[in-house]
Amino acid sequence: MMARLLDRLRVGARALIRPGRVEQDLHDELRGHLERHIEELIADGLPADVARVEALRMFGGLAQAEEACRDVRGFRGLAELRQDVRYGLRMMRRTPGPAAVIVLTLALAVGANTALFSLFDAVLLKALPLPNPDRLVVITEETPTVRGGPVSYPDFLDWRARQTTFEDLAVSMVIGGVLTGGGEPERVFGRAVSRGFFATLGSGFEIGRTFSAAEDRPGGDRAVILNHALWQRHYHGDRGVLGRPVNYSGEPYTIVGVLPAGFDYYGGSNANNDIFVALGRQADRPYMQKRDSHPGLSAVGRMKPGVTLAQATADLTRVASSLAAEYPSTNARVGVALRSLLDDYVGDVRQTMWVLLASALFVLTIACANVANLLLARSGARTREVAMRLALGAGRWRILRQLLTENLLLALAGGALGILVGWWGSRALASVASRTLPRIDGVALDWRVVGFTLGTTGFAGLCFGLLPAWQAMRIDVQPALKEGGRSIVPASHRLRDALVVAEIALSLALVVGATLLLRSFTRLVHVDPGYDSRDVLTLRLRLPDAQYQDGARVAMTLHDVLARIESLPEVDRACLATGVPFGRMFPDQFEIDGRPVLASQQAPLAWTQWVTPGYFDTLRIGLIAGRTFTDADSERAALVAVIDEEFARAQFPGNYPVSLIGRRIRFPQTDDRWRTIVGVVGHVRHNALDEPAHVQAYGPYDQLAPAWKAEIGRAMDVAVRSRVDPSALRSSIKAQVRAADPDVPLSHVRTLTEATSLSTAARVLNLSLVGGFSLAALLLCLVGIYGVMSYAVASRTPEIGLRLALGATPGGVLTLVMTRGIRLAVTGAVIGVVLGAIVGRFLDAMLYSVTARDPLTFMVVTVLLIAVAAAGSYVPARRAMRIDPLVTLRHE
Amino acid sequence: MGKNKTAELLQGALELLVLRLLQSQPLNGWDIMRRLQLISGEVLTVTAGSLYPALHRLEARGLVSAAWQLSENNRRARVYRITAAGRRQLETEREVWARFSGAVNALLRKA
Repeated sequence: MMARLLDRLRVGARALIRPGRVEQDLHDELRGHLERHIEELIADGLPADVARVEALRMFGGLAQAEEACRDVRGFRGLAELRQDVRYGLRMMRRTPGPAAVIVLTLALAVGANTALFSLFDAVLLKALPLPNPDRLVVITEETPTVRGGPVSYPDFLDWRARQTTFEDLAVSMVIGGVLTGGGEPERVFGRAVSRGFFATLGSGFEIGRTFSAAEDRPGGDRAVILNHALWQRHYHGDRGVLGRPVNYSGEPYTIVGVLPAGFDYYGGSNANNDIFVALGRQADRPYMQKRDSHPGLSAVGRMKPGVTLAQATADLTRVASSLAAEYPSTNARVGVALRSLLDDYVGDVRQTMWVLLASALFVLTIACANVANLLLARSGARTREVAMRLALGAGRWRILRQLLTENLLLALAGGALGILVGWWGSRALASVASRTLPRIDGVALDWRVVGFTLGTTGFAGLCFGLLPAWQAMRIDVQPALKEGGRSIVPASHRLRDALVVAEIALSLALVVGATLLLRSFTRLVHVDPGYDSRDVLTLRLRLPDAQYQDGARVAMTLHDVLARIESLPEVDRACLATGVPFGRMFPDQFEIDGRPVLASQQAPLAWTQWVTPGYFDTLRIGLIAGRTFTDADSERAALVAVIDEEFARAQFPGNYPVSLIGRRIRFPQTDDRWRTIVGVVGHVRHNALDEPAHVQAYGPYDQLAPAWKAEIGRAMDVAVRSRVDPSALRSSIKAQVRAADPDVPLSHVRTLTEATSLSTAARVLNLSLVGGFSLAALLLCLVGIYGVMSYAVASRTPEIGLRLALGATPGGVLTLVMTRGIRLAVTGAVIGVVLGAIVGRFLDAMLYSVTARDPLTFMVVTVLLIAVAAAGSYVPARRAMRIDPLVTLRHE
Repeated sequence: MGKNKTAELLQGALELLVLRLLQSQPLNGWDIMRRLQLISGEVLTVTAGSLYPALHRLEARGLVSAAWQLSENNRRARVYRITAAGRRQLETEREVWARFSGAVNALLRKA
């Protein structure tokens, strides 16, 4: 049975793949037979021409036999397909206008979907370029106050020793240092990693090896591993770099390995992973030995094959609770949270990507409804043609196939063009989104994207192709021919109305989404960030560790840099801070004098800044009570601090704002001396306009103990308020820093306005995409309703003529037509409101200070959609009004 | 309708005969034609015009296979060969045919 099936397939496939060859075979075989017969007849004594005629006669119909053989082989299906395709192409050529509109509509809709899906694919679907990436998880510590917190080193060691579900665990810590030797010193970021790090991730080496045990202990040999990109950049891919010395942060290292291209790890941080050093060399440092100290270690683990995330979580939770029992003072109520490495990268944007893709699919569906409408109108006009062919004996199935072929041709043309549009669109999107979406560099038209496009195109073709074909199936031959082809299939009206209603409903939901995003965005850009971002340039300094161990020296250099910058005539004011807005800011524990001290994992946190006195003036942060810092708050003066209004409200609710001045606070984990609160300032939205309010505190940099002056001062931000366009100051400020110390690299040089717009870039992208889709949907709606109403008016011309003849006023006719259009719109809008309310939930995470069910938005959009429908109906209604009753009645 | 039935019956008989001929040896179209005429004489007029569609039908159903070969007098011809499926089909059809013709014969004798 199987062999037989295969045989049949083989014969069919041969006919499909090489129709020319099969045709030739058939021809040869039958001619061969005929020739042989002729030869025999000649041998029997017949003259050649008579023999030929006789042989043909006896053959019994050569052409018929050929045809019969073709039939057997399924040639007919192919031939018919060819015929249908030719016919379809001819139809397209004959009515190029509608065909072009359909193909273009589809190309744009399919293109938008292709482009968006390529983004979706790169961000969410592509596997990480590491072996078995689904077994990689990121592990964080959870306390009642901190979610997704970093891990302490002793905890990590215990996890690793006591767990049973992982092949291995590793930790890494972001480091930043200066790579010197040759050219400008470069600020290079990387990680200090535990020894099993690369094995855990499953990464091999381009050349060289991972750290040896001798390099992974305190006082061991200094070794570095370079990332592929840095290796290319600095050494042009020279394979002889192994064993070469390199100077990093003022210390001599030896290169022992280079990672392969495509190595990818940025769990928990966006810092570039250009350089790797052994974490074990720091194992004896105090911050590595305390369980309540979190030097910013992020943990990653590779689960054993077959272990689920839930099992691994249970395993580590067990370990964490045993640690909590053994070390209650530091580990009580410290739990763990696990998520996949991919989730760690893209978890934040998953929902956004889905919303964007769904918007694109909405547009495609609306486009399909529109195209179906156009085709229905066309097939309405072709009723007579179809009826004629039915009457002449064409099978209904045959006609269905032909109409479907025609429509699939349109879909195919649209899809092919759509891939082009999508290819261009995906590159444009990728470049726009490169700073707002992770993993965006992987955008490409791979098999998944092409498959998706083929799928959507096929879906589109079937959607709008089947409807008209199905309608043609219901044509009744007799009346259709009798009525001279003007008759309309009654179902067509209802079908087309339903399509328009669906279009309006989908558009309403989409436009509601876009409007909600727009309102969020306008509210967001009107949020007061708490500072004045105009005319401010910010940059980051990094003093090399090796030369800057002494606090006094660090402070001196910093003050020198600041004085030099302030000496520039274009500079109004300048300051130094541990972090300017959109720069860094760290939560620090604090205690208030006279209040009970809590265990470390429950201690309150304040986002703390160490600044020079000019900070509040430079950024124009408002003073609410008391005073800010002055030059008089020096090393020798009484220690002072400033808090923000959120701090005051949270910690001194009754006394806000005045009477808390004079209370004392301290930061036990930094410089733990008591400081007197001298002022309250406004709250600063430090990282993003939409960030939740953090409690903030400030201390003067000059009042830090010398050790902390060095530790904190080696990485400081500078903010400069300029009298001119701040971006013009870049080079002169660089020159001033260089003059203070040529070995100090600058990074993150940008204006605060740039930083602000970068922080809203993701919203702008989402808004423009969803907004663009909404506009497209509105336009399609307008065209759709116009088409339906024009068609309705055309088909009701005799009736309207009769009404006018019987005394209806033109105004009445206008109302008649418009009412019908608006009724469709209202029906669509009602469904759309329900739909919008359902899909709105998915937008919640993307909204800011607007709810997904904002009544005003729904109202405005509903009115807008009905207005669009009215506009679309108006022109056909005017046409109906001008119908001449005499002409139409005579025509009847 | 009646005409169609007859055609079907004859077509079935033709295919059965062809399979029977191929059972003993592979043959090309011309030879099959010659042998059919020899065996059936004037009873069954088979034209080339009905033989070749039958052959192609059998091939499409996987009952015979075909390949181009050079014949004894160096002529290129398409040679048909019965397949395993064809042999099985022949067995079944032969039984059906025997039963059918037996029944017809019995009926004719009685009448």
